Amino acid sequence: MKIFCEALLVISAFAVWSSATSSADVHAQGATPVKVIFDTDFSIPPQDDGLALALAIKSPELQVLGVTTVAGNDTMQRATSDALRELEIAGRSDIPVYRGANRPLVHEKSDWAATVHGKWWSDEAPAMPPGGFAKTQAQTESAVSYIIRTVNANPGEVTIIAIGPLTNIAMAIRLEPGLAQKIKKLAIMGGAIGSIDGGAGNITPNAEFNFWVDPEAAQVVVRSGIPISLTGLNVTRKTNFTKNWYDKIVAVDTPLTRLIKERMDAGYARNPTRSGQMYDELTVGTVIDPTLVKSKDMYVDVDINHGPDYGVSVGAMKPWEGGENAKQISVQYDVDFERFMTMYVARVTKK
Amino acid sequence: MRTILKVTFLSVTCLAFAAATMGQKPKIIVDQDARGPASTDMQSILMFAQSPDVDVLGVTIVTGDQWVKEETLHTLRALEIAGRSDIPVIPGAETPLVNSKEESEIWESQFGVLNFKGAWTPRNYHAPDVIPDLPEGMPTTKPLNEHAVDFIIRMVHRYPGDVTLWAGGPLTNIALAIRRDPEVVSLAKQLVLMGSGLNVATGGIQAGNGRREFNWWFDPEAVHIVMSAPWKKITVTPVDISVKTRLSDDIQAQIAKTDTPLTRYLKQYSRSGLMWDEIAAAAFMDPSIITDQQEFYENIDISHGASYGQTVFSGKTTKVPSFWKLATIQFDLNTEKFYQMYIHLMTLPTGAGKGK
Repeated sequence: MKIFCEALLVISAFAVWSSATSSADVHAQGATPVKVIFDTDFSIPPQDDGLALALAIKSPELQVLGVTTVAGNDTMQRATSDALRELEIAGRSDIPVYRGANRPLVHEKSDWAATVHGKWWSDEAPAMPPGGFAKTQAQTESAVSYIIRTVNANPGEVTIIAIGPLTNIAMAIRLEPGLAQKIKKLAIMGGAIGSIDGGAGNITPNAEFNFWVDPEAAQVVVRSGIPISLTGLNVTRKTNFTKNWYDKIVAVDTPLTRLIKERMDAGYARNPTRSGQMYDELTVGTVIDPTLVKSKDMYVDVDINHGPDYGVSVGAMKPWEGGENAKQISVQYDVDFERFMTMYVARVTKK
Repeated sequence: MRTILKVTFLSVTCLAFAAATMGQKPKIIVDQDARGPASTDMQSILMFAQSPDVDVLGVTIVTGDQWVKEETLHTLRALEIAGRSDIPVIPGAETPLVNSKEESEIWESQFGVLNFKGAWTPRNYHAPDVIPDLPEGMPTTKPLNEHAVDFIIRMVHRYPGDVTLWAGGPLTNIALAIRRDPEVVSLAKQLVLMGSGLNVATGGIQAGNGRREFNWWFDPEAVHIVMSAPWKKITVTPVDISVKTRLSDDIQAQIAKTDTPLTRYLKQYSRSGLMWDEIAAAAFMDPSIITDQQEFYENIDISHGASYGQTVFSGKTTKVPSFWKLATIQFDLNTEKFYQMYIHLMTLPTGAGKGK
């Protein structure tokens, strides 16, 4: 009898535990949407930021509270006008857009910078987006003020998806002590860790573009103690936006896919074997479903000496001399690309 | 008859214009790492507060010599004592942009111990939120409920072309302001600062090296951002000129002959030593005290190696890339005239600086 009672006790304890776990799983699968601030050096497709925003606004797991713009791929001004227009096309002009930093913290324009990818050093007037400038205007509040205000109002609840140079995030942290502790998570597209596979740079030999545009901001952010998940070149090099996936997207007719088709058809027609990495799209994907990627905790710092490795992210499994200020962040190194793309296509083609 | 009318019209217009501009005191934002009580930081603030010839829009506070929270309280109290609680005090950045206590300790383990690190100095170190007792008493007045950076941006927009940004501490607030709002540089009237060291062995935070000057060393990235911006004019008071001055016991005794709450505060808390920010304040109010000033391209080393935070400079005939800017740097002064001005300002009746 005693053994029977004890067994019953164990079984019922197990039942309680497993039901608690499974309800936790259901919760983790996104019963309440994750509050997101979308910080971006935006351009409409074919730029990956445009393709990433499409995924974010079509995913019920995410609640995009606002879009903040920064200089990087193009000017902050173009990021702003393009973001407003894509949101308008998607019928989401309810999502406010806030203008952010038009320059990185320290990095100055150079003759060489003007010859390679990026317009972060410019204030030129933006080209008109397809179909004209959006009727909605950007907010008068600055991006940095908005980030501080929103995180303060929702402590521990806001995930920032940062897919451009980290200027706005670094400034918010420096203007508001204690903000770092209130940010739930920071999903960053940036960096390339040389000590693991696929870690070469894409703008200078060892530096990834977002980190290279504002290395000082990247260093402030990776050292901040905010829980960070890094979607760097190591994992994006395992993505491949090929024509077969593109065809699946534009086979369905929606305002967003029409925009994608208008902007990308000619490229695939000219070169059907063309492909590209899905840097920002994957970053958003990993917030929706972290199980898409494999990650490991690494000590990561950023080189901000103005020499050959300016903007290079350096990472290791253990601290090293010279890297005493590196903090542990979660570095993504592999992805189930088929599963990611299937999800991407399903979401972006939703009416 | 018509000539008389013309002349009269012209004279009246001229007088009206003169009256309008003469009635206008120069507007200034005093950005300070306001260590208290007394100290070079606070004394410069008090010089401006006492002067009937400047319009202090506000005192913005930055971490440097001490942490921003305690500096804010010391400043509020000093302004109460000086009868100038009408001047708003606005707290600003708590840490530099990139430099940190941890990084400075790693640097010291490689290159040697620095003799002063402001709020990070080990001898009296405490955390940012800790407020050691104020010997001069806690203030009853409060700071503005606004960040220094927002205040700076707001003021230069409100008074385009008229506001001098005067900085007596690390340049964190100013750097953040110009990165938040790039129009600040063109809207401000000019930049005036105390910082840097060029050809001087003392006055820095490292024995024998005046080029590692505290304000600039504490936030080198901020200095680089600020000194690379296209201000209409940059005026610098470096340690080269500080080491030519001395706040002596005699000067302090002369001030103590007059009895006001302010002179009592100075008598109790002011220490003898070099003068720094007081020179930058005096020279702004009376440029004639400066007897030698020269233009140099001036900036700072922001490579994180042995020379991190050291002043970098080059003669004005150098062909430089566009981010280098010319600064007017003060090298010598009429010390007697300067001391007299200091004594005069500090012994004025309470609230002498008030009023438009």
